[in-house]
Amino acid sequence: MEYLSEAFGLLFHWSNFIWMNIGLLIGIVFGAIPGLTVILAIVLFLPFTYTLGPIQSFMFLLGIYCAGGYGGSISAILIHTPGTPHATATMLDGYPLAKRGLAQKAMNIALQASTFGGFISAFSLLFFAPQVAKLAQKMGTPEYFLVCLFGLTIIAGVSGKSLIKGIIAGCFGLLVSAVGIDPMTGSTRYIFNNINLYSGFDLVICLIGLFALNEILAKSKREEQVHQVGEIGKGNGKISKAEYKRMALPAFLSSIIGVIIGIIPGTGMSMASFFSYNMAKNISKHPEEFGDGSVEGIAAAETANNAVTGATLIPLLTMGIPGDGCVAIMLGALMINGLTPGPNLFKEHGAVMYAIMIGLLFVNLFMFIQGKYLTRLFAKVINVPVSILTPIIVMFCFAGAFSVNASTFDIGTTIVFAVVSYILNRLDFPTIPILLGLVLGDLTEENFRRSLILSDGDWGIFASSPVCIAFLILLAGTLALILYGKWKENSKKETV
Amino acid sequence: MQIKTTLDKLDAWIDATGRKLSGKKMVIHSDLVGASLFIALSLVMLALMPSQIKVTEKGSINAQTFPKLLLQIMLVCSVVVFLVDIIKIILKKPSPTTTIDLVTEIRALIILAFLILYLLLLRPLGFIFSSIVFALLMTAYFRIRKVSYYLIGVCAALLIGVLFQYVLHVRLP
Repeated sequence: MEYLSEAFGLLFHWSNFIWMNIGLLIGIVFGAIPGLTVILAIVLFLPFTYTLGPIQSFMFLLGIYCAGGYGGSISAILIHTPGTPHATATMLDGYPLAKRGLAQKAMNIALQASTFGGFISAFSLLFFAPQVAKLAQKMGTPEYFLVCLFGLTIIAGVSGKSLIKGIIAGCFGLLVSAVGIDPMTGSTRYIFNNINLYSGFDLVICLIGLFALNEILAKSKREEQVHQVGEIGKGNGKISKAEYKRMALPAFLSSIIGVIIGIIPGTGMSMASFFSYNMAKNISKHPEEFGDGSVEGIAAAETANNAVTGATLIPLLTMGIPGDGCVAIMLGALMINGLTPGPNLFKEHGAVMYAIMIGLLFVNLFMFIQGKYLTRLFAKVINVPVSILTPIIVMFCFAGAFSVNASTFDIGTTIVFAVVSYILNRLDFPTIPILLGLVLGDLTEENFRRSLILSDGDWGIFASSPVCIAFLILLAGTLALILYGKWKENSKKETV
Repeated sequence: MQIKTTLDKLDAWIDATGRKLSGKKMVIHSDLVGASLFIALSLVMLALMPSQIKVTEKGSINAQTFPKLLLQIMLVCSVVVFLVDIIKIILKKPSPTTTIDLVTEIRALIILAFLILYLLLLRPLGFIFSSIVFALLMTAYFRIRKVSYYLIGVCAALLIGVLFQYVLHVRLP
């Protein structure tokens, strides 16, 4: 509480709100255009934050992240193509409503549900993050290592079809993060006498290659994207009292589901929206309407995917474990500003943290305002041709990569990472575990080595405290669940 | 008029080549190939470790410990994936495959060549001019005839250059 007044002072600066709104605009546009992803938007615009302060940077990036969650629903409703994967559940009912000439109503529901979910998530961040940080402060190096391992394992398990391939990809990411000078001993590792590799691979450089340039290679098809032009129609899209009543319970439950899923590393918006959609269908008095324009379906899916946004920041800010790929990139923005995520962050930079968390409430408020007044403009953006977007994205990638160290070597590195990512995608190896490996590499290694140095090489240290044992049980339980899920999936396929 | 005829001829040639190549596909066992790549990578990195990570400090926990553990995990997991796939193939059970479409891969290679060219032009031409060249090449790759699309690319190069250098004060080549 002692930080609140200082936090308000830091937040209420016009530049924070300008960057927040620019971020929101970019997020909605990237979310709305099929083929462009929120993660791509964050990677491309991360270099913009180099000259900004931590609050401005975070308002900008959170604007992109939250608005991307809503933006995906625009194309899902208007042209039957989800702008982002998590908008697929929204499409199931949004498009049938649009076909009946009720596109404006579907978009209003999506916007209001997204805003509601976002607010619940922001409040949960505000209340839970400081408590989790207090708990995290009591953890030692072995516990910390196990938290990192837990995050990496879940992500490896859920981000692809195979757990073992996820682990291989995660190890690859951790290995890449180990290149350069070892921070503990000063020895060089895998630099091949190349002076450019002394400081290792910069996270942003790797990300631009893995997630932005890779998309360009993967989407090299010459054909123009011809979308069916979505019509919003002329109706005012008013939602009736009865409809609000029907949507209240599914939206409320979906917001809780979204928050819980958001806190668990490696999950994300898609899982939350489908889970909530199914829940809404199960509790509905009109399940037959689902898939044919159910207002409850849209409300549940959209509430859940935006309820994830603030919750994913809880493990990130308190323990340095990102909840999903997008916030993993935001970690870079924190580090650039000298803020190392972890339990001490709230102690050392409490006011900044509170300013960011309160700022998230305003991000959702402005998302609602932009969505309400600029929807017709966003609907037009969907039809921007790929031939115009592709060179612009590459220009941003190259400018961003160069700006990190003012080196063309880094641009070459992004191209190499893009090729690696392209090949791995073709071979069905997930790339999200690589990102998490890159992000968590230093933290994981440092805690792993420190623990073993403390125990004189005895691995028993990782089961030496009740917290460690609890984490090991949690890890084993989660692994068993993931493996059971995969086994069930495979048996289903074999029966089919 | 002559330009239009030349472009039409070029389009027709590209279409004909595309049609010729369109049927050429290759099915590969993705797990087998992926696992082989990671086995090779981990073995090479493990072999290079003594020369690439020199250990000066005493004690069993050093700069090699973590990368060695990662490479060993990667190797073991890759061998498991490899063996499981081999067993599936021998038992004629369904195993994951990827279809390599020659036309798609050639397209990706063309884009890669453009990216490399863009990188090579950055030093001699600077960011804005090399970006203009890249934008024009990419628009031509998409076989766009509208002049407005080319102009948008040129304007985007100028805008991004100015935005990074003068508004955001971020260095560019």
